[in-house]
Amino acid sequence: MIDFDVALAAPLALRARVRAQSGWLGLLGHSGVGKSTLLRALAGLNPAARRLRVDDRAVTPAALARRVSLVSQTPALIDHWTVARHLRRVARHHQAADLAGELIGNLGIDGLRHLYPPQLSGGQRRRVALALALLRRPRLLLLDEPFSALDDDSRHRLYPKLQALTRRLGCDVVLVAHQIEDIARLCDQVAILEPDGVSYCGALLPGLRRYQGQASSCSVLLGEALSGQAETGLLPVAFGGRTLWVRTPRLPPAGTPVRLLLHADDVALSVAELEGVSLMNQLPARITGVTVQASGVLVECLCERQSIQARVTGLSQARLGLREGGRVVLLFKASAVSLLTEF
Amino acid sequence: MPWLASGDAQALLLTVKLAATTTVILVALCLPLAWLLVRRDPRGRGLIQSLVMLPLVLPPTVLGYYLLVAFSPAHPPGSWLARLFDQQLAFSFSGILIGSLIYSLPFAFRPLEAALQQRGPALDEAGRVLGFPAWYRFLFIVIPGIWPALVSAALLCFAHTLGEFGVVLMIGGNIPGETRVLSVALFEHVEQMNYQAANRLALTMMAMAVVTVLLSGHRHDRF
Repeated sequence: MIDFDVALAAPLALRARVRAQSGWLGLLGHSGVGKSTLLRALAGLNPAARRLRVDDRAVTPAALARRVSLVSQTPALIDHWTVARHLRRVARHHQAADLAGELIGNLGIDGLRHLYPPQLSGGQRRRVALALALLRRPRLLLLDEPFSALDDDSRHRLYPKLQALTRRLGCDVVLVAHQIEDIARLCDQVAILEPDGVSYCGALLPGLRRYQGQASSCSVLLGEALSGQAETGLLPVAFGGRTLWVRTPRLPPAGTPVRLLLHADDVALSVAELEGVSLMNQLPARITGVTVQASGVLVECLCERQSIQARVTGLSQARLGLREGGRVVLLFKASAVSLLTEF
Repeated sequence: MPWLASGDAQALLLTVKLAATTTVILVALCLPLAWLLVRRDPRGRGLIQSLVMLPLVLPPTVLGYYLLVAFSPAHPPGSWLARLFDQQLAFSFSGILIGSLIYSLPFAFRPLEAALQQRGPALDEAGRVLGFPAWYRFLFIVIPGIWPALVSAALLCFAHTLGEFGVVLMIGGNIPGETRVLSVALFEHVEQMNYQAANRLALTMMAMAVVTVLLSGHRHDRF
């Protein structure tokens, strides 16, 4: 169970109350709304917090600091300690010597042991901070943009390991990530933070839809993997009564439920199905909403009872006569779809 | 004939003993005090900072005069102090030690407070994020983290105490083995027009000052 209630006056006024199931919770919110500030308070780093309740009990910042681990955007390490000394001292202090070896292997920091923090790259620093955070066997792990300095490849390798580790250690996770993709991939639930508090806390998909309605522009789709052909790198996915094509180097076994991510900018619209094009995906859909934004016109469509967003220019909207209730065909390449599910 | 006369060698030893004791006590005292000011930022912080800086601008003889008055066994606080130390403080080693502690206070306090202010909070937070308790963070993370500043504060404090004259002369006089430090011995030689001994003492003190400055100029950053 993730259950906290925080009220702050400084550095910004903030009230956040969250109750969610155990596991990974994604924290969404526009920049500047106080996501990092909230995480710092939850890690016991805001001594001026006006209200700190966890599991329905008032706690002190010091008590929180003992049970909660934070990996911030620029993790604080001790400049005059080597990585090895960090690991040794934290392991000794928290009686976790048995865990150290496993974390070092899983997070790939064995080669960094003799280095001092100023010698580490951003990504290395975060991996070290992650290992140290988990070494403390926290009840709650707070991750603030932990993956932004990692390349795609390292991220994909890290995700399943991190999920397995937190499951085994029995710690809940609150994840703040700029990339919705990271949240969609790792979390089963999300909370949306707004200036006047938490406006939503619950299941992932409705949360993402609600959040994207306000701001961003990608769709998360649910489907089931069919058997693909490794040589083509194309994965067919059962999507309602239709088949979607996804390009991916790693093919999941047939029957695996999969989560897919599609950016609105990668979706084109047409009034009729096209012939003689290389596009693999053509989905007939009904328009459920048209929103004019500074960056273009966001068209919300419903296809096989799932919501997909497309962004087009105002000119295209006028040319095609796009309006609510109209029928369109969604066009996108197989390579525009990313497979979020790890297997 | 040795480089220093036996009386002067005794003065040298006494001076080093005074400077070393002063340095150890001041560093041990100023570290927690400065850390408290940086961490808690109490309301009276400005006042405390000014008071600590006072010996820097006060003429040493004025400081020495007031200490002499305070040490008088005829009335408090001198009578209490005399009972506490089981001896009269004026014209004793304990007396000039108290004088040096006050006189050199800003030289230990200022660099320590500046370093703690600059690096302390970040180091402390890093330690907190790793789950270490407050005493551990202060002793094993913050203090080693400001090591260069600590070394230069100690050296400054030591060097400054070596050359102390006015305060010692006012409250300590010139008692061999008890209060006769190098600067007082030098003054005495000059008064007696014993220029060879004065020259040797002055050179010795000069060499000590140069070594101290060279040591404190050396960077201690170890990465």
